Amino acid sequence: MITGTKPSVDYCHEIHLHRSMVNRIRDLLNRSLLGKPHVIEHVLACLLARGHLLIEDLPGLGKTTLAKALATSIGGRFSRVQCTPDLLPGDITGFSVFNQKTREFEFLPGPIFAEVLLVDEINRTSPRTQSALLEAMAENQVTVENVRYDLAETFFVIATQNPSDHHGTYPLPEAQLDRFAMKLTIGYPHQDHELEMLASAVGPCCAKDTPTIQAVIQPADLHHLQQHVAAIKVSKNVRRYLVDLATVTRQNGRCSPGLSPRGVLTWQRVAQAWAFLQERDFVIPDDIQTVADAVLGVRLNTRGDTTDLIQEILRTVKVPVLDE
Amino acid sequence: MYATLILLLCAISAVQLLRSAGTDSTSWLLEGFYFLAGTLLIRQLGLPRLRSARPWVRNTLVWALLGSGYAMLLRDSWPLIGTLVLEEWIILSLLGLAFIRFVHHDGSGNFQQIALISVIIVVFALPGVDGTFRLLLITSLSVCGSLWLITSASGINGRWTLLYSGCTILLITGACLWIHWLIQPQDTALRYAAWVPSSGGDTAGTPNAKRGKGDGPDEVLSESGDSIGFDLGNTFSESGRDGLYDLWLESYGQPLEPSESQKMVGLKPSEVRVVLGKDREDLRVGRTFELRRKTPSRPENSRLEHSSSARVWVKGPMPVYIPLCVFSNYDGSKWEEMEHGRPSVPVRRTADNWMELLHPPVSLSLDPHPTEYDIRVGNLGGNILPLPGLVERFRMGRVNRGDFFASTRSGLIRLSTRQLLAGATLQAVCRQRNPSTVFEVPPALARHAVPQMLDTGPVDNVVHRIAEEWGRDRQKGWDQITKVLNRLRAHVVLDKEETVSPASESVRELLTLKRRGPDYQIASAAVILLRSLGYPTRLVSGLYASERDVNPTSGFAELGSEHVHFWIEIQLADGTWMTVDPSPGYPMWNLPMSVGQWFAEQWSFLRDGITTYPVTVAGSTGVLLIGWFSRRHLMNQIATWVCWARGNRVQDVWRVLELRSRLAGCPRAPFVTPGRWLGCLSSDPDTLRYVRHLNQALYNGAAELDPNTTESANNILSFMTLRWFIQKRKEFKR
Repeated sequence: MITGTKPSVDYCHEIHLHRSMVNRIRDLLNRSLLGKPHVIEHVLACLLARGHLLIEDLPGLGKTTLAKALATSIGGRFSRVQCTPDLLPGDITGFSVFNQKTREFEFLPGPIFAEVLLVDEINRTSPRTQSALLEAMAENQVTVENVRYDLAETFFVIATQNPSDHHGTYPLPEAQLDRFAMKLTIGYPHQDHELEMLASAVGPCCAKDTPTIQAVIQPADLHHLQQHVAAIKVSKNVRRYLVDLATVTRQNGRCSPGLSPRGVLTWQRVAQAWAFLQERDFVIPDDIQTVADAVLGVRLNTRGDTTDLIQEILRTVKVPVLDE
Repeated sequence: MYATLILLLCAISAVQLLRSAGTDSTSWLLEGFYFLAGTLLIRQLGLPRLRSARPWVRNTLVWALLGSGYAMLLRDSWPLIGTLVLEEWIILSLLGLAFIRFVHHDGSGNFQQIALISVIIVVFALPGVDGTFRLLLITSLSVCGSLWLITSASGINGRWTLLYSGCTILLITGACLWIHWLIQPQDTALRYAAWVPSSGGDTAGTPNAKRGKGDGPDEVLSESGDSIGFDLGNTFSESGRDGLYDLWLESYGQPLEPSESQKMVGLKPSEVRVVLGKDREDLRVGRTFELRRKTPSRPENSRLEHSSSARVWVKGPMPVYIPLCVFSNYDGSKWEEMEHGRPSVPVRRTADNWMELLHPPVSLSLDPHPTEYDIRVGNLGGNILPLPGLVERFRMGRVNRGDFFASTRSGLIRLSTRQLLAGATLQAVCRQRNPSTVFEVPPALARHAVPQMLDTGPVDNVVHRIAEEWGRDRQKGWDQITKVLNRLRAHVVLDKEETVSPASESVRELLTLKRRGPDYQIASAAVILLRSLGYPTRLVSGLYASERDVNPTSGFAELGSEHVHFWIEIQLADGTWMTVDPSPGYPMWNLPMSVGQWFAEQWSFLRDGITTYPVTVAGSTGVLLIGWFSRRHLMNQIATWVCWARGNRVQDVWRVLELRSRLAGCPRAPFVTPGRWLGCLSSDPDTLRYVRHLNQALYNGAAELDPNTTESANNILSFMTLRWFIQKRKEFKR
């Protein structure tokens, strides 16, 4: 880790600890999803930045596998919601039932009370149900029948959606999209990795035959890591660069609307996490450019090719180098 | 490489065209050859690269190119039509080029090809047009070229744009000026002045002029043979003294007549008593020309203001030598004119008052096509007619009697009894030497020549030895003469102000001590050198006019005292005298030079330079070679020094890196981060370490390099200069 001032022994020890924790998660995820280190790096960044993740890809590419492996690795509770058009908000948040013994209403917590929530095919459910996630994702709490329930500190949503299937889907509203930190696509694996995958599938018959995944860290450790990432330094010229980029998205006619202030905040947080993953304790413009695709991809609502638009935006703004 | 080939060919063609244009009617064959060769080359090499251009772009270019070339060929056959067509085509090509440029400004245009073709058009077309058009052409193309370069120089941003644009414009303007100088257009200022209607004269400021543009026919500059000549309003002299004798005094200063005591003291020429010339023209036969003269005191006016003092106006093919006085005897300090001899009538009147010479020049070396000269006599005086050499027939105003004219023994035509008056008009039909056959006629043998023409006078033996040494290893004849004269031209410098000391012998002093002198001394030296080798030679004085003396408005060259010149004539075996000019800077044979001769002359000049200064030449070549081969290391050292001078901080290294990449032509795009840019160029561990430190400095506030890795900055610089921007440049650009 490169630091500006001479680091103390304690600090070095702490850094080492953080590194080893992240490496353990990374190894585990890499073993679960073969040949996708770049995607896993982004997932890690999203996790460390306390953002939520939207994965948009075809069925069967490992979205659920990835989510489950992540949930297991951080040792928290994992729950899954399979979205259908008749799913109700209460099915996610939980609801009160009348206890015959106590003669009182009791709150039955829904799947949202978990460390990692996998919302599968989120665009299949109605906007009403989608909105149930808004408060949870933004403020880490849910309100049911006027009672506020806090969620876990490290609450993390992984939502998946299927791009090719448009029938019977409700596209996510912009308000919902803005609450995700990034959107990723996994893509088909390389042939070598596919071969390896096939080889490992010969033998085990059912789920219990496969080696079980053990948690590598505890939710408290993750919370500690997230606190550390939030303290990564962002210099003034880099902040100015971010603001310039945001201004350009607002002025560009092809983006409607431009990047929201919450989006800029998220972008900075993700860049901080990326810098942490690159073993740095300060953010450089490279970090911002690297995560731009994932962060802006979920926010910029365009008809054409989003990648082209993001490249165009990045080309418009000058990288801060020396004070000129 | 193709572009280089084409440009080379064009340059050779241009030189050839310049050398041969206008004077020789067969030169169009050569022009045609070069034009066709150039067209073929362009078709083979240039046009395939234009394949991606739109068809109409391609066609415009091709037709502009072909059209200007064919028009140039046409011009030689039918001058009027040819010139008109040529100008049309040039306008068309220029318009086409400008149009293409400004329509296709999307960055996909073939700028390089367009620029190349325009250069070719310029090179092919320039020799064909006259001065004004040439200037316009150059200006337009330099502006277009600047725009092309500026707009196609991508990757330059911010404050550098101005610098780059300025440098580019300067560069192109410089190149155009160089071309301008190479082609030597006629007097540009005069052309501009001629566009402005004035109250007469050549310039708006001439006070005594009465007529101007649009005021009716100008009798002074009229081309009509029936013109009555000048009226007094246009000719006025600055002094009351007339004649060639005064022209000499004006041009070369007064002769010296040192006393014996002064000779012994060896005073400076300016301190010696001056023998004043006579007030009126010295018309006696056998007049002399003293070689030892005082430094002339010239009027300080410029030539333009002084044009009214012109003595003769000439129109016709340039350059032209007008002999006015022929000297044969040399006594060591002065030349004496040939005696006139018994007067006889040398001409016969034919139709339309033309006077035909009874003994016209006959020689194998003469061109079959005669040339015509139109001559107006100003304040010349005397009785010698200012006619070019090798006259076949002439006409003087309305004079219709042959016995008005007589000839001198040296062959010049004069008025038999009268003085030549201002306002006389002359037309002459002359012959020219043909460049391809001139050397087929050998110089006259010594035993056939008049002994007078071989007399070297009381000249020091040193001069004879120099002559023998210079002509030693050459065959007798033109080969030897050329060698000796070329050596003389390379040996001495023309300086009209230089004089010899009164006590010495001028030819020897010129050749051995000073190596610098006016044309009469150089010509005298040439005569003495050739005579001592046994070639009959004589000294001639008169007026010399070149292309640049021609007034573009009227086509006449105005010859005044500054055009008085001395040259020599060598007798050929057929009895004619051939004009040869030994003064450096003047055309030696009065003939256009072929490409081969030009190269031979350049080569001999080069060889002489190398043999004269071997150490200097070898040293400078060595330095250049060493500089070329170690250019990367030199650049590296300079840049490293700049970094060191700036403090060697990581930011300073970065500044130098950026500057150097910009100068190398592959600058960092502003949206590319430093780390990505450097990483794209090299994955060397040093680079990666430097990138880490750079990021640290730029985005984490660290000012100094880590002392443990200070040397990595220098390593980066060396590495970059030696490998990235020189070897990887092509790859990087791709």
